[in-house]
Amino acid sequence: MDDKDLMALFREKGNEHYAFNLIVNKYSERLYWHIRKMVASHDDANDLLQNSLLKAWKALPGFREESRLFTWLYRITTNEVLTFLKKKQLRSFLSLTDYSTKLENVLESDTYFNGDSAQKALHKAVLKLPEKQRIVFNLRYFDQMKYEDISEILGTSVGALKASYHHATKKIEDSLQELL
Amino acid sequence: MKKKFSIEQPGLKQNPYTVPEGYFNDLRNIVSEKISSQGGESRVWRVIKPQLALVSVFVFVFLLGYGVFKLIPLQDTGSDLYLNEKYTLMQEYQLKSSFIDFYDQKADSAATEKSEINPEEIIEYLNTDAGLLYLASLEI
Repeated sequence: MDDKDLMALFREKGNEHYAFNLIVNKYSERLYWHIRKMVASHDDANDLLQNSLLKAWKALPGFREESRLFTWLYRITTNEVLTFLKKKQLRSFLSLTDYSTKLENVLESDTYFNGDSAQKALHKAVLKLPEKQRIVFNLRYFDQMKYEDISEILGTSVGALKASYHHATKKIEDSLQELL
Repeated sequence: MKKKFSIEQPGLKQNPYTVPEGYFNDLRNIVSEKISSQGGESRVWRVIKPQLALVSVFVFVFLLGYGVFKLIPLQDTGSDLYLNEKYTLMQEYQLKSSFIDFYDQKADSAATEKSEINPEEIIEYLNTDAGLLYLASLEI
């Protein structure tokens, strides 16, 4: 079922729960991986995904379909992640620790990470990127999303996104060059 | 010379993260349960709720302010105690402290009674004591 049909079903009285469950079935996995690559920890990703889906449920009656459903869901999730990361960074700043180092440690001790050393090095390098650059890189590199879609999610021009992706790639390659 | 590292190497794009077994099924159930528990809220209640919260905050602040002014004793209360004590002493020892206390109503009314002069006495007074020139000026 495509997004328009899902939204039409959602607007039918009495079908809201059913339609939303279908939306959750369709998108929860993609959204989870998007969050997980940003925060590394499974527990944090789980909390953030649940919060994002509940926010989407509350906001869905007001969704006017000016953007596509999947970019709208990605936007809610991304905002949730950015808010979470800001809070974490503030706490780290107050406790005089570096949050990206914390994320690396999470990745190092994560039991739900099955990658080889090259993948681990790549993901550590990704976690060192500034948040917005990291989002652009993840969506483009891992999810192979079109720049137009990323632009709809982040509200940034395609040109700026291309530049951001280019800088992120350069940083990661330089970082991996030293490590490997 | 070291070969430049490329992120386009095969296998790097694969997702290395995993989740606990059955996680996504559990997640769907959890989200569904959470949504069902929120479903009891009607649309009207969802609109009214934040406004009620705002009103209750105002009421709380008002009551707090009222409580502070009403319940906490102010410095003026000391002077009230002083006045009460002074009043008791004045009553006990019949002290006079103000014009009202010194005002003698009986004497005043006696004087007023005295000042009520008979008109005949006035005519007699005028006939005997008032000068002729003064009477002439009154006629003008």
